[in-house]
Amino acid sequence: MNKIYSASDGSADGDGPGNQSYQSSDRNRVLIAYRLVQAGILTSLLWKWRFFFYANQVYESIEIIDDFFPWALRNASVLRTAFLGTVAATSLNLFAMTHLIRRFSNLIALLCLGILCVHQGSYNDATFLTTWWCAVWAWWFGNRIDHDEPNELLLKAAFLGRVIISMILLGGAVGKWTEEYWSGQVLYDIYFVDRDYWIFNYLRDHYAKEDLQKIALWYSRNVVIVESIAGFFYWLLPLRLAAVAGVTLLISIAAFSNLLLVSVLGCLIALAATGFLPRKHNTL
Amino acid sequence: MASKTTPIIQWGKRDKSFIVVIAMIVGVNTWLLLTPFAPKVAGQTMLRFQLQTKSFAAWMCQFPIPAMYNFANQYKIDNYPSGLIAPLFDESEPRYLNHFPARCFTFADGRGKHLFEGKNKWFTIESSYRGQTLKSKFHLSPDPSNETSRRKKRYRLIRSSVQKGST
Repeated sequence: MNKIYSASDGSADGDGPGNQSYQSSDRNRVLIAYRLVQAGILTSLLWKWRFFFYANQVYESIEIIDDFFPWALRNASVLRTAFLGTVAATSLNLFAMTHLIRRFSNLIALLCLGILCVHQGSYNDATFLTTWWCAVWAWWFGNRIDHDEPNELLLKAAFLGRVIISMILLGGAVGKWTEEYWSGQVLYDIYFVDRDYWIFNYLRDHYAKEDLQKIALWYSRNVVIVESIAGFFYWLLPLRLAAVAGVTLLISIAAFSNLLLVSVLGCLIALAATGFLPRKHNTL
Repeated sequence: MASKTTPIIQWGKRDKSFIVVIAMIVGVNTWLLLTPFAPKVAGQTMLRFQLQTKSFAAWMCQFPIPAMYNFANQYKIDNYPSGLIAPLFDESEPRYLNHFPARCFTFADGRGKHLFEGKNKWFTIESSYRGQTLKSKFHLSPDPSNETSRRKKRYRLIRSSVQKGST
């Protein structure tokens, strides 16, 4: 059943559907989707480059000896190597034209991001979790480029992207189904008290503390409700609507919370945008 | 619904790696949806957040589970051990932070801010979720090697106590 479609030279071995120009266009779209997600991962990784530069200095100068973490997963050099390894593998992936290079780059990126997800100095940074899931998507997609009919692959990829985004939003929602978020007190303390960001600076300048607490309550409830609805139903949306809704929602989360979240959401925005690429003959 | 599920089943039949990724996601979602209803699952996540899971391997296995802005996590930092001369020198107010509250001393921003002096610090972190709480105390004790090295500060992490509770 597996036909060999060569994305690198544009030739197709077997009877692909549609005419020649459709096939050529679809193969280009496949490469665009793959590179879009790689560019998203790279954007996520490099968005906070100043912070990571500072973090490197801190980890070099202050060491915490905690036997819970194996030595290698406390070591600053391992952290630095894993981060730079991911950046290098993703950059290579942006230009990869052969299956072998794609496979190698994806495995390196998955391994390095896996290390970053469990290292003492980076386990809490959601950037590495979202990029790891995008790297899982890229590993799967990279393995299928030369095997699947291009438009079917794009439809599958967009569906898988929606499922991954739904899962990540559901993860955010479930943890907020608790009184402290419903009352707004957690986000009030994290964002409204002293966060230096345009929307919170504006609100502090124009509203008294009691009003701010009420705004925080509705801000927090809005986050809980939107994340819950998206977590349960986003993956069920039709192709194009999901792409528009996903990109809009993820950009709005960063725009109304803090721009550092672009490092967490950048790769997911790229993943959502892959829904713009399949031809619409099938709406899944 | 049937028209939507049919191509997904067809894709799965032709592409085993697609099934593998979907199975991973289903596993994560099952864990997530159990969290509000099974106190043991929420309890495991609290232990995960506070680096108190019984083994590193069990903690590591949970890394693919998304946990952004999860639970109500608070931290408090003191220069003196609590109970010794508190509340006279009770310096800081508890503050909320988004997730993995032990980040207040492990992650670069907290580590650089609170541990640059090379002095003793006591951290209290508390997570709560739907009536369940977990409170841990950590002592960051300067390593004797700090006296011979000005460039590098070393701390030993001592887990003073861990306390489960309910609200």
